[in-house]
Amino acid sequence: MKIEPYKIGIYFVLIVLSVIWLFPLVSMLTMVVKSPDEFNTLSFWELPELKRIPANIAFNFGHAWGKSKLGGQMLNSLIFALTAGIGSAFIASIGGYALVHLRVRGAQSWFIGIFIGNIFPFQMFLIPLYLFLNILGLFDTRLGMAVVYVGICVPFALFVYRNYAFTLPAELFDAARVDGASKWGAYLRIFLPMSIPAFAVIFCFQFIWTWNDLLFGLVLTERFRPIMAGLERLQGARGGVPPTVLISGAVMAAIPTVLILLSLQKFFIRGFTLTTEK
Amino acid sequence: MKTSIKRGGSFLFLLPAAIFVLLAELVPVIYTTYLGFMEWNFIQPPKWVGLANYLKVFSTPELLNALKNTAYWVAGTLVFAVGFPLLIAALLTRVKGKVIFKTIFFIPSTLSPTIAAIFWRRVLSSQQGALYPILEAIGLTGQPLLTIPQINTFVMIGIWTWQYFGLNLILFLVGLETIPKEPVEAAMIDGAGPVQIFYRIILPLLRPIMLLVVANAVINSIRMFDIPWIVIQGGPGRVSETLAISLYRESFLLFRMGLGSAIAVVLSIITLLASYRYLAAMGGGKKKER
Repeated sequence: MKIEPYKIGIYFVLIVLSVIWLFPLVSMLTMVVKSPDEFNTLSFWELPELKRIPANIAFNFGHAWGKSKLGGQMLNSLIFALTAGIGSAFIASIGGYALVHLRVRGAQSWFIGIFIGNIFPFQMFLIPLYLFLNILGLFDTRLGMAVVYVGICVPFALFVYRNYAFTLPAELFDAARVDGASKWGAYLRIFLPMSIPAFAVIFCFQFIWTWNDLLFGLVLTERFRPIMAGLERLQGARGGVPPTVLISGAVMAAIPTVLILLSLQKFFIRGFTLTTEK
Repeated sequence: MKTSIKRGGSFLFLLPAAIFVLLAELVPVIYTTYLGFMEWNFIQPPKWVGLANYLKVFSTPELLNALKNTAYWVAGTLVFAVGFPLLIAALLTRVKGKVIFKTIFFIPSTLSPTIAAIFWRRVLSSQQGALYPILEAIGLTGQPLLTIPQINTFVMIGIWTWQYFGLNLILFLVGLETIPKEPVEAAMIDGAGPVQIFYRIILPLLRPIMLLVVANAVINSIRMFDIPWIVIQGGPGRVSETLAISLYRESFLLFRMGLGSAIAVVLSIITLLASYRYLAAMGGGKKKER
């Protein structure tokens, strides 16, 4: 068997890149297995005694979860991400249904009017949302945060749902109408069950986006900080936690999105390309 | 008559979406634009100052610097997080082990930018950093990369590349897999070289994916906040600030809401100009009407 020389070159490039790509991840794992003291006394790449590793991991994660309050902040983020994911997918499902399968007057104008929310950078909403939440007494509340996240997610969700709704044949809904089904009946019995893939794609996208959000979490709340804003405070000058605890907290915060994205990689990419199809 | 009543009620299904977008996005857009013409520190009532805030955006050295850094972020993202993965995707189609490499490169894309920045800050730290002992062993010591003005923006673009690369790589691989073999083979028979085939045949066929990847890359890099903020708060001083960080600092740390709003408007206009074609393609959508 003969390997062509250019292929050796390609493999060389790929392997060098892989090493660079894995380097930070591996180095972070060496931190998670050390106690804060060991991290200070050993050099970076020295490992502690094997039998101490389970206790060290437990200490680091326990400290990050409890004393550093990341556990509660992950719970906040879970609430926000579930609300934003389910809420925006549901709102988009009824909207997409109406745009495509109910004969709404001026469907295109409705769509543009809602989709336009997607074209501005989030920073454009930040200051007014801060003021509105203050006026409504929702600043620094879980409800206020959840409502904002749903609102930010709706335009993109509607875009994906509308695209998907076009792939469902109109005849289905006409037939249901002839059989005497109401608009809600046709939605619940035909449209919603048939559009589960779109619902799931939107849910995953918006769950991940909300989980990963830093900016809104920094500005709109103090008491109910979501996880990324919590990590930001922890790693700042006033954070004052041992580096091994900070890194363990970051690893912990990454688990949900890593699991979702690695297990649903194909599905997720399909969702992404769904946005290019015409 | 009856059908028109039925038809008229359908808009109720769109109402929740419209209300959320109106309150969370459309009214804020108008309000931010209005505040951009005001001077306001939360304490005194807002005062009309005309275009003064916009003049400040384009004359204050810190903000001009933020504009420049934002331009670096966009250009750097296009070269390293779009062009580079396209090249690697093209290489990957020619060798075995695609799945393994693809997975390795994709792992960082499953992390948030915040987490990527926290990791790399430790990797590049001069006190107990992962890279430092290695650099020391080969005799390369000096100021930590993340604290050197001008250089650190590019190091952070590197961090962003590490995080963003895998997603675009996979999207390009999907695009490359869907390209039909016939035109490529025909061109090879006609004696076209690999570079020619890439530019003349593969690139045009990749256009839809390319549009998606480039538009998202531009939109995400123009509003870059997380990485430079987590790594060094736009510092040292304000030298690595992006527009998004300037906005946050002016509005919520220095309480210059008017100036912050003007920065938001500038950011929006740049985004709209840069992604106009993509948005038109998205918004136009289906021509098929019932």
